[in-house]
Amino acid sequence: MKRGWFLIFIACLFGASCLALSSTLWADEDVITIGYSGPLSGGGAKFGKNLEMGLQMAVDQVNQMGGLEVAGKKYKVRLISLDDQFQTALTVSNAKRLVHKEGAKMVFNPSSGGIFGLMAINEREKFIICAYTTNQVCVTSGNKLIFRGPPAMMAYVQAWANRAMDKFGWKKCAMMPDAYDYGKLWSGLFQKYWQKRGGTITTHIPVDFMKLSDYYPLLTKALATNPDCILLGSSSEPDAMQIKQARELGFKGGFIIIERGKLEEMLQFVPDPNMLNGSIGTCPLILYPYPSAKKFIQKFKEKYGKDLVPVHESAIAYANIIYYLAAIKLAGTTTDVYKIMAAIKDPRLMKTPLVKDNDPYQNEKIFPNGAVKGRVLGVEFVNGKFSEPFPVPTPDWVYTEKY
Amino acid sequence: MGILLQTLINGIMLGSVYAMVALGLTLIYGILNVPNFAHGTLYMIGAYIAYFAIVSFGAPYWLGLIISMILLFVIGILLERIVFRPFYDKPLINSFIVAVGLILVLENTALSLWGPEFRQFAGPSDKVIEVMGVMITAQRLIVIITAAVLIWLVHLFIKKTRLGAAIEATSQNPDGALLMGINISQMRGITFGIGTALAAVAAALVGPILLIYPAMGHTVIGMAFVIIIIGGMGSFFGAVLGGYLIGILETFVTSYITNFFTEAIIFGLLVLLLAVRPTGLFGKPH
Repeated sequence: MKRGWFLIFIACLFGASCLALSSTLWADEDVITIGYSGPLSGGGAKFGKNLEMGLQMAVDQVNQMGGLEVAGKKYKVRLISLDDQFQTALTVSNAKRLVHKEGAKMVFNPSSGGIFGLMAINEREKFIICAYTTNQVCVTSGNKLIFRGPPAMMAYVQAWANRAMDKFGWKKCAMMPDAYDYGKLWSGLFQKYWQKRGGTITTHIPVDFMKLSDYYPLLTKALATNPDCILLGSSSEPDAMQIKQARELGFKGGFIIIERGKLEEMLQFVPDPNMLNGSIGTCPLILYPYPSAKKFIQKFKEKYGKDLVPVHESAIAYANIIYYLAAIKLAGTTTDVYKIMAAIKDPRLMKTPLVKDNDPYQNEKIFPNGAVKGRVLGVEFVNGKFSEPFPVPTPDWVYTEKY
Repeated sequence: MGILLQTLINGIMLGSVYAMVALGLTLIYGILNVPNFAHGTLYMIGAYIAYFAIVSFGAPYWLGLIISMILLFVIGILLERIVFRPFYDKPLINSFIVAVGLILVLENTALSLWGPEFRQFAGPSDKVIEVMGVMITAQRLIVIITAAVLIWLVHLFIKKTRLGAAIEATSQNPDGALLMGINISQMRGITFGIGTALAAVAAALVGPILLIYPAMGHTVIGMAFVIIIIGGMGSFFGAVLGGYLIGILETFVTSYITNFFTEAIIFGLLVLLLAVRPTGLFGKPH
């Protein structure tokens, strides 16, 4: 018996050393490493996995095309994902490992807190941050090695507020955003704009959706202020729970959904679609009329199975990796991060075949500060179904100004 | 008035869940002498089993609840036998570490088997009842009533049956119980099973109200520990009363003061209470 355990132990050691060896072999010069630190377990895991699927899809696609040719040499691309559960300290230590041990020149991260943590070290340690956040501050603060994927927060804030007031005539809003950086910023911008347009905020209750389990106490408090609409902003499932429970408590008004929540995912968590009536949010990717988006959806389903419905997280993460790889090709270097960064902002990038053929959104440009100008649609949910999508105006100033 | 009453009902609902989870935890503490940190994780497993029984196999809600209860009873017995029993005569720190390790094993197994996504199953009725301006769903009533009945049944079982008396004897004085001819390792197994089954029922009851995901046990287990410390480690009434008290307190703090420092306030209360009564409300001095 003793001997058996010993043999198993030796086998494990052998296996582990093989793994270690293979990863060092991988880290040679013919490989471009994409680093990803995100929530792969815990309450944010679904969000993190959706992003990872998009990243992996871009990497696999480029490898299937025979790799990426940079300055006459072919490179394979690989993705290394590490879990940080939305904790900034972990994000930073993950990034260090990705950069120094795995040879990544770019780290993808999807949380405001994590991104600010990375911004404190990325210029010194020479890596590019690909920021999955609508928070403009990360690109207006002067960091030279960062680019930012999704559309700017301000575009949504104004579009949703305008829609709520002009189409539905709502004036009184109870804000229940998530309790983290992102929600604070969003609701701060929203409150300013809402009040500027003559609306009132009846109450402001930040919701910690990672900890909280029952929303009745908070909703009871919010509904006591008699709002026309509630601003919600955790992620799809907690949002859906809040909507369902608000309806149970007798709320008849509407909901403004911060873009992280997805109406199509919420639909699966309410017993009756009509509960979502009067919700304003981002248009589901599957309803995007762009041919490029349809092409992405088809590729996604081919890869991950036809029952899986792709969401924006996957598509935007995918697009960002395509931009990054196209920029490496354009820059003609896999190691000089400043040259790669310059190529990311180069107007020619969006016209390279890699981007033109693959970008699901056919985005227009990347600003000199690193913000990607998005083409976004919003949607409403009325009478138990989605309305026609409406364009969300994204003027240049929302990407370039500090606010 | 409406809001006050609504908050009270919200609090009793939350308290019912806490009381059931804390009761299981305190029963197990009585025999292990180590808090079973993995209790919240077993609560999560209970929720998943009910989910699969109801959603994947189409079992009616109550059958799903019973299946989850029975399976977790068996899992509890097995865990006690395989994971905890080898450490009874070792220093307590060993059981401690095993319990923490169990969280990692179970939670990551759940994550890899079932994925990170949120799930939910429907209760027997999604009716909403309005009484004096207070809205309460049928499912919340079910939680409150079932919890109360179940806690009462567990009480009767311990106080009125021979097996219950043997369990109580084992938790009070294992050596004495052994001398009286009680099979204490069997009692330990059964108690572990009952404690775990209680967590499963709690999870199956709130399944239609809350979201099910691999990390769902964290929110509950932290509070359950506070509750059994406040109530007095190992005390039946301490756990039940503490559960309701903390549930109601948490809800009132959330509704009337802030939803940010609820934990700070409750833990602060714990520190204050321990300064005055180091054994908790109903705990006996060692």
